[in-house]
Amino acid sequence: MGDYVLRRLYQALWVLIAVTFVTFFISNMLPGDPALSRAGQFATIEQVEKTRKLLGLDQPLHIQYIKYMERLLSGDLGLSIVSRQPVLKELRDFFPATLELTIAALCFTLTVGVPLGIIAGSTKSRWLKSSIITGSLIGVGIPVFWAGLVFQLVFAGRLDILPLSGRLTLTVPPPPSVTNMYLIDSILAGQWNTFKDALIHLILPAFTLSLGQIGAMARTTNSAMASVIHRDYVRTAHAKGLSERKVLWRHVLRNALLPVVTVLGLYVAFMLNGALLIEIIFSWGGLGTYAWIGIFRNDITVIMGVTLTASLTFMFVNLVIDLTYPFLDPRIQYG
Amino acid sequence: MLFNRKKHLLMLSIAMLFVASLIGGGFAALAQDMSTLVIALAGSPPTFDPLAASDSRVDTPSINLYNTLLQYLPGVTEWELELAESYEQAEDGLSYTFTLKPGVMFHDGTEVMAEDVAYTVDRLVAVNIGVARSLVMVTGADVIDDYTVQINLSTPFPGFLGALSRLYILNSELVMANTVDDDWGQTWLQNNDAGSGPYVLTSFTPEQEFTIERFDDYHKGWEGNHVDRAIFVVIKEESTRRLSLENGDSHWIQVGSPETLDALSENPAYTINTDPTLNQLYFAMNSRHPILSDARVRKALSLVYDFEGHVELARNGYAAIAKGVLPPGIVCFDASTPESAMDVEAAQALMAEAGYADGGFELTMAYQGTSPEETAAMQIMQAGAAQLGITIRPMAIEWPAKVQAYSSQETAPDVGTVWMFPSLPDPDQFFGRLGHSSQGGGGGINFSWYSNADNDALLEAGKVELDPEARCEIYKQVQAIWDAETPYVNVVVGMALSASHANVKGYQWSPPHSYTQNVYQIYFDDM
Repeated sequence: MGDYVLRRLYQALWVLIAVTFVTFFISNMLPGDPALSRAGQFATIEQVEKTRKLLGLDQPLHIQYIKYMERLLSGDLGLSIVSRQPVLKELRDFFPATLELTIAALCFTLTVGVPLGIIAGSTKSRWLKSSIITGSLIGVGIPVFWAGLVFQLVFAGRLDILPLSGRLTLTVPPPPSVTNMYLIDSILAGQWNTFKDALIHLILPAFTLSLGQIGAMARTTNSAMASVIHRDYVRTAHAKGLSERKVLWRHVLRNALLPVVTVLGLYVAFMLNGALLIEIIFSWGGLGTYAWIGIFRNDITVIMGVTLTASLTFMFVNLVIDLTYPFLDPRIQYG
Repeated sequence: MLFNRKKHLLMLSIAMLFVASLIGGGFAALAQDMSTLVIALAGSPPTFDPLAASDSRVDTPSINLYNTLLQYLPGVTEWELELAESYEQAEDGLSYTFTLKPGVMFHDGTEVMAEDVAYTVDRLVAVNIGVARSLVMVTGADVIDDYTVQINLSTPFPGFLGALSRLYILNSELVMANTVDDDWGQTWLQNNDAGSGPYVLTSFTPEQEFTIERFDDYHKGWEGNHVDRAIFVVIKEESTRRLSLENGDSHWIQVGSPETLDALSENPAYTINTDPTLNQLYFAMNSRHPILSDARVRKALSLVYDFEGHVELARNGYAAIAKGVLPPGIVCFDASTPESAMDVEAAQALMAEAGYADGGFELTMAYQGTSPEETAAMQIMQAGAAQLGITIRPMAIEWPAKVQAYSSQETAPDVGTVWMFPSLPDPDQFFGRLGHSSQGGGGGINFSWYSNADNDALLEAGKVELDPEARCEIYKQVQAIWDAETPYVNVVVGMALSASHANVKGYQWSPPHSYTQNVYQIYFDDM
């Protein structure tokens, strides 16, 4: 297992180098001028050139890349071209918000999507099964920005039972920053009102973000169950007189979980990267917003920082998922 | 049984009770707090460094946190002294000496002195970004005594005093104490204030909100109606901003779409604001294009554009047809200049005269594809050009890419939209930047690549002419050249749209501070 992990980490290193290379050169090929962004939209030609020199953007691209990699090796993601703040510091502000949102969306996906898939895969009621399948398709098909706006209109506008946007009510001060995830930080600080406020602010955006994944997860679970429910060992389990529940949980579900867990890793990546629209609709202020600002302002160091963070998270989540396989299916061994 | 029904019912009930305890309702209660004004903005300030206040997102916090030597009065393009008690202009226009009001305090309790003004000016010259664009002729400042400072210019600039309305004076001691690696405090000022304005920055969460609270020792005092605190919340999505106003989360919102404003205007609970701006839309005609190099073709294209249709269709009436190159409110604007107008017959006659009676050629047109107004403008131009047998090929492009495309003649589109957002109401901001030959390419915004020696000479003279009448006469001559040569089509003057609860009073538009919210003048009428 240890060797496997080391091998994966070694592969990840090369993937990250490739990501930095591709992102750096593609970002620099995009139309737009980072020096103009820094100097201001209406800067004079001389001011833009002076800024370009100051930022080192007048040097050849390969020199700029080598300097960036030198800094990266010492853990320095550089300064944002526009804000002149360390990108690492800004990522610490923005990334936890998206992570918190993604984890909450994942909770919805697991607690709603998987049970729906199990029910659809095991029920004898055709009506119930087709209702769940149809509902799942609708969930997958609804555009998240539309769903978000409708949820806002209904739950924040008409019913006024959930907050409209933001991570906290404006009058509630954020908890002392430890992880920058408000739920965890408010627990650490013992601020239960803040915790409650942060939690209710998570409901609408997290549910909206998870909507497509709930449907897809229900479909995946249902399909995975359908592929094992008629296997011989399930029939044998029934023949041995095991209760329906035991057969389902111990024999069907455990064997059906492998594909479910696999797609879970992809869903995490999708939610991390797909949070932008949700963040804009719900004014969330997370990694998606930060990426959007970086792209909009041609801030290459920000784009690089966001890409690296997203890549690292994706690789980490998938590594963790790969490591769970032996626990779910003892036949799988990493040597 | 698949699930243990009793156990799961119990769990479900507990979960529902938990959720019910959380969602007690009444989230729209903030608007009832009469000491706090909540303003929903479409964008977050990228920095709180007032040197970047040429950007209205930075100008909004700056005007509330800082003071300037002089400031524009609300609703007009006239200014009054703010930190300065008096000033004197040198005869040659190369220096201005300001005497400061005594007893004006910064937020940390130190007094605003001449050395603070000098430091702010030196910083402007050294860092040379943002506001420096309007003050390129400033070379530095000399402290005469504690309350007297002289600002030096390399060339006379008649718009100098107006440009000072965005030079926010910094607490030099505080900024110097927070300077790292000779950065003139840029990193620190990103999230902090060093001003003497009516409000103090108390919190900032990037891309979410910032809060300002009243500064008790503000030199203009707190007599009359003012709010104690303002929370600026960032809501990028327009429909969410509208909902935040309707459910009471916000008192005042920026509006981008005329449809949103129309919908809100039907409800008497809201006040809608349609404020004329100094921002004008132009179509740049690439004068280096083989066919567009003929001024008659350029003029013909300007005559087939449906300006009234633009105002009605693209802006629901919330815009005004342009009257020449300068919008109303800009120094030297001539109200007798006729509105841009459509005249297809005259256009066809010009095309025939130029040898293109049937058109038969294509032109590319660059526009901002994410802007519904510019998309509509492109379509209106397409329809108009078709009447001359010209095919317009749309080229959707965002601003940074547009500047890059126009940076060389090879990649410059044939026709392109360009908005002017002046940081001061000075004619040079328009004529000089759009039409001087030095601004063609290399990041300049002379997108028409217009080059005319007489025009350049007049623009250079107008830029430094201190006699107001003589100056306006110069720009009148420039306007006449542009009327004949048509390097640009003068399209529409924009309006800034916003809406507020009907009990929000005192909001006054300041044309030179487009899209800036000055909280000091706003209050609730039932306070």
